[in-house]
Amino acid sequence: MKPCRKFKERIALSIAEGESDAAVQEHLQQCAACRAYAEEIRAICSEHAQHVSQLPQIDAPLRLRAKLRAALRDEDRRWSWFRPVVAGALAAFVIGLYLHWRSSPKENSVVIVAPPRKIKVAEPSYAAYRNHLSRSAEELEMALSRYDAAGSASDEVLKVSSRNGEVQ
Amino acid sequence: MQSLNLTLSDVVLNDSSDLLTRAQARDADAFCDLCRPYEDRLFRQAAALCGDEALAEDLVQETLIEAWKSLRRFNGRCRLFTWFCSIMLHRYQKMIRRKRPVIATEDALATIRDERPSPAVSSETTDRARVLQQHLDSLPHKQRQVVYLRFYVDNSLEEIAGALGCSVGTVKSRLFNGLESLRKMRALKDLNLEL
Repeated sequence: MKPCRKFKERIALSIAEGESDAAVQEHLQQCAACRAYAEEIRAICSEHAQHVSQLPQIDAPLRLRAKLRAALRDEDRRWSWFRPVVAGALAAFVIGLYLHWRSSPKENSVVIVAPPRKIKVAEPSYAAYRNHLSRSAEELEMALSRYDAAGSASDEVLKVSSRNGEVQ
Repeated sequence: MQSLNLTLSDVVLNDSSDLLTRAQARDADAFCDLCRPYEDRLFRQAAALCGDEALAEDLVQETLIEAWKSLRRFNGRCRLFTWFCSIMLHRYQKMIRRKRPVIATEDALATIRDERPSPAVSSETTDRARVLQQHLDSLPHKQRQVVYLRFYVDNSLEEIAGALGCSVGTVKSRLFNGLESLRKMRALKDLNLEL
């Protein structure tokens, strides 16, 4: 029969701690399975307590003290050079960090440098060249025609001025 | 007048606290003086764990060196001896992992007992001790710590919690699980004997 799950832990702990639990005691009077479980736990605790009482009453050897002192001295010697080295390295790192921060450009003098643009110049083909020339010729003609149209207005001015007897 | 009547324990406590302060300030001599009252008890505990005097000596030395290195972390939530024992169990765990011969052999136990002027120990007692030690060694490390500190060092659960740096609830849980594991091992052993 298994002990009651609700009381199992309380039974074990009350026995292990050596403290009486009234609710546990009351339950043990009523539940045979829990009583059997409590007996098992008591047996384990008393076995280990008996084992402790039967441990040999031996004393530590005297050399243990001398070995401990020597080991502590070695430990201190090991750390005596390590700490200054670590402290020095840390100080050098902090100083280096500070100098790097000092030498880096300040926030209010920001220089914006446009990234160099790579201009790809494609080699023009003959057709493109002819096309460009023909368009150029057309544009030239249009410009001249506009000029001629503008010139006719100025011709009127000339005519008016010639009528006035002045040739300009 | 009552304040002048210092008990021996008060004097010892005052001296210990002064030694502790100096030891925490890296005074090696103060640390050695601080450890002196606990050396024999610690050695007995180590011998019970290891089952061998030479290994027990190594274990105690490793324990005290580790305690020296981490003495500043001792916060006074438990007795110093309890704290030493918790370190010793941790070193013992490492020793088991290194697979050194730590399980108490019959010969080793008999050697320890025979050298001392004590009543003759029956082989049945030796066997029982060996079995109990094997059961302890089979427990998971955290359960072994709590069971050992409770039964072998006789600490309260509050003190164990202080030494291990956990809550009392955690200690109770580990103690219960440890007892359950020991109960199952014991039941299995009884079953094997019956068969």
